[in-house]
Amino acid sequence: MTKHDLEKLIEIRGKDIYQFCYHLTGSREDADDLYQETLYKAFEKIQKIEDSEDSSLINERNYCLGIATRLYKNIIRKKIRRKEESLDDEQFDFNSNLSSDFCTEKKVEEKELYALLRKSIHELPIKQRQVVYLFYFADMSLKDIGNCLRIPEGTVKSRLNTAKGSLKIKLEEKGYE
Amino acid sequence: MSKEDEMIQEALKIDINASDELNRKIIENVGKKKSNVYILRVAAIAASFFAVVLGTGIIANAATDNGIIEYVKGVIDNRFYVFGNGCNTETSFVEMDGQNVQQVDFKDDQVVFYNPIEDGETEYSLYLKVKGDGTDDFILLSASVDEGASTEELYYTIKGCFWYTLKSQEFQDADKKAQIIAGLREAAGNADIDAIKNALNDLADEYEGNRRVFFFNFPAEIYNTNERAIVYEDITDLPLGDSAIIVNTVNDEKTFIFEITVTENENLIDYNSGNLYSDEYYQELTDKNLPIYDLR
Repeated sequence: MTKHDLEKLIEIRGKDIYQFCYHLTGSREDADDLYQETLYKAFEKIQKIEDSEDSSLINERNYCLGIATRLYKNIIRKKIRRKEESLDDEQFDFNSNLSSDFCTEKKVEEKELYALLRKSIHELPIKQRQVVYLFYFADMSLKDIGNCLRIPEGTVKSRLNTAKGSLKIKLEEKGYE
Repeated sequence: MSKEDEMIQEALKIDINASDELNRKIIENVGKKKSNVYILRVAAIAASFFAVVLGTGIIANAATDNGIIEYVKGVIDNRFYVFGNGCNTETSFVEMDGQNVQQVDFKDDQVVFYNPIEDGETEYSLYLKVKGDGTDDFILLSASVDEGASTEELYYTIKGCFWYTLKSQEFQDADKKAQIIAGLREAAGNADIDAIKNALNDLADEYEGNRRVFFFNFPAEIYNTNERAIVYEDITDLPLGDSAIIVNTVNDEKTFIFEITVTENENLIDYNSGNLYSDEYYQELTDKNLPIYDLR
């Protein structure tokens, strides 16, 4: 990949990749690091971004998300080895980033629900969390997620369903139907 | 997409981006960064066993005429053997004939059929070998289940997830289908956990009988919430948009009546509403002259 390709990737898909890193890590600082490492790695691995009519760079984006998930797993492993604090204990601003200035009561409730959902997702085991982000955030198919994480499609499906089941229970415990 | 799905999707929409400074720094520094040297850990490739995945099927140079079952049995020897012909694999992508294909190395150090993996999760895998003309296909059926899962959860997860992959294979050829069914039964015969044995046997029966079984919202709804486990038959020969009432036994205690609509979506049937069976309700539907498929 050339520097020009990288600029293009950042311009078109940088936001997606960064947001994915943020979801995975739960903090801006860690997201910055993961995003940077992901792009460095993508620069090494992706040979060339082809000029074509399809300028969505969706494949390149998905490839980067795969890199990010693997890098993040390594980070966690290192952290566990170093017996550092669990990632789950890190501060994640679950209430941030909902873009509304004026909130009606319904909006407030919705905002709270979404914040709780984000928090609950972040508390899922990493394997389930990855699948949830790739499916719901990155809008990838189960097959693509399987390729991305290098796991069988059936495993993706069961992880996703287990995650959904856990989320449902958590929400119900908090009084949501 | 269900309401729950939409909710999760909405919750994950955040408005955040890398700073311009960070992006600038990355572009400036890229290439200067000393490349990490990645030593590819080459999985020990068991005997001459080597497979290449192409799409969802796996084309393999089958090393043994006796099949993978015998091979795996030999390798795992002292390990806890659960069922059938599976083994742990490591995958990588390689270029072959101009295509990016997935290479699967069958590792001989972790050849287990159910494979405990981190985070309290166990992955169950079954490789089914299907002999073809010239090349053999391997179908990898897989599911992951949390440790400590109930018997019911294990049964439904194995059955549902295995089926999910199996149905996407679209093996319509009678000979191949027969091989798949035989493989499932053989695997069931080797299983030493009843839930797995039953799941595989039931799956084989249903596949054999052309009973294309689907689960609505499989499998989370089954064991977590309001018993909405629904098994229904494929009626895709109905015209698109047509509706029908399905009456089906879910388990020994429950029977559901539900309305379905044939859609274009994956050639599956869309679920509209479900009700616990009652004679009165059944009669009500009958009186309305709705098409009823009683699968009991």
